Amino acid sequence: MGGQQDSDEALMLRYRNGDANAFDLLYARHKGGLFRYCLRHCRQRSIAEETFQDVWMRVIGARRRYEARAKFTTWLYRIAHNRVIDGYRSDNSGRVQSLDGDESEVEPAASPLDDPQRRTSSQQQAARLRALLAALPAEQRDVFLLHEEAGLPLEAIAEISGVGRETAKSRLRYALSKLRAALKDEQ
Amino acid sequence: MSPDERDDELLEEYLEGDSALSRLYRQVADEQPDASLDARIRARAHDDVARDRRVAHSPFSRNWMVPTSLAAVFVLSVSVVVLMPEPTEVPGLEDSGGADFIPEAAIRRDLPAATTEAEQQPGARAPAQAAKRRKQVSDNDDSADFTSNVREAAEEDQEAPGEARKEQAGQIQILGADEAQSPLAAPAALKSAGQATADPLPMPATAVRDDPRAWLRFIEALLDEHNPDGAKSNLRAFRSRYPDFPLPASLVPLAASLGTERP
Repeated sequence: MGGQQDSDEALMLRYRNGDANAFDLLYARHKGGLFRYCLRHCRQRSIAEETFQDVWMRVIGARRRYEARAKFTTWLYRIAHNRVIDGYRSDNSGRVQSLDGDESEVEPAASPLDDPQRRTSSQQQAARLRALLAALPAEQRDVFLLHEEAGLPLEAIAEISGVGRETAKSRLRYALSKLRAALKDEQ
Repeated sequence: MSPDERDDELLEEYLEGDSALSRLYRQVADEQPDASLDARIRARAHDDVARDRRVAHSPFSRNWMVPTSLAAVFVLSVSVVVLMPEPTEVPGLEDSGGADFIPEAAIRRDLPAATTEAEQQPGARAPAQAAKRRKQVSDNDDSADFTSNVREAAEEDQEAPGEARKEQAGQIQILGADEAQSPLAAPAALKSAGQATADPLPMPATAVRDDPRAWLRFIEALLDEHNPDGAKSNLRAFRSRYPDFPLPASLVPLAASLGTERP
């Protein structure tokens, strides 16, 4: 049956043709990255889970029509991107804005200078990075997450975002610049 | 190096995947969906496949799909035939004047034994069969059968070979080529009928008798076929019906021998 060595597209084609185990492999490969993508865009974990589940339901619903015309990852994250955009549009309150895993609302990203005790450990830096990501503009956060979680190149990110490559590159440059500056200040 | 160039350099380094920021993010990125959510999504994916299999292998689709399809085709076909509008014009009868063709019963009355005998001859058999079929058609109310029967009869007419066909061609303008029992075939048929019967007195169809010119041509044809008795009896009947109608020169001697002509 192959499986572990099969490409995403091959697994999806197998699933389309009735091999449910192929879906399990595909799901195992992408569930973490996709879940975190949703989580970073949503303020609450429950909303992230709902978004995550909805994306997979759309994948399942599109099973019979699937054709391997593009990378599976690009297709999957395009669905997720559109679903997140829908979430933003339907929730003008701004709840779908932040990362964090628990149900409580996340604090706005505080300036590193506000913390009286500088956190220097890597664990503290990681936690700080999540807060900084939440503070980024949604478009810049999106390109960063698409690269980090989906491993997509700039061209695919631009395609998913519906913008040109240079625009996507510019957004990513701004995101990196802000994150680096904030983390540097912290150290 | 300007700040923009520095940013581009850092961006390239980041895109290659080995930046400190990426390493730091991977330390952060450890969240996973709940096991219950995993189970729910996977169950849904498996159900979707299983549902397809159930549909493909259900008893209905396995045992009843073909019979149901055939039944549907049958019902549709019958519906189309039943609902199809009746044709307003009957193909094959337009040219032959079929609207006023002479019923076979009337013809048999006119040509009692001869026609029956004539039907046994190869040349006359096909037109006679066509006439029978038309008789059936006239008694039949079913428009679809009517159309097909008439068409078949017309085809049989086309197949009529030999002398009868040639003789028909000579008088088709007068009679409309409507019937096998018409005078078109009568002289030839009566020729043999005269040999077999004691009373060879052929009389044309009513339609011919109603047309004096057609009746005279009929009598001439009898003479041509060396049936003077038939010609005489017809001429006598003709004169009793049309006493003043001028005769063609070919029939004057025959009329003189009958003594029916007025001075």
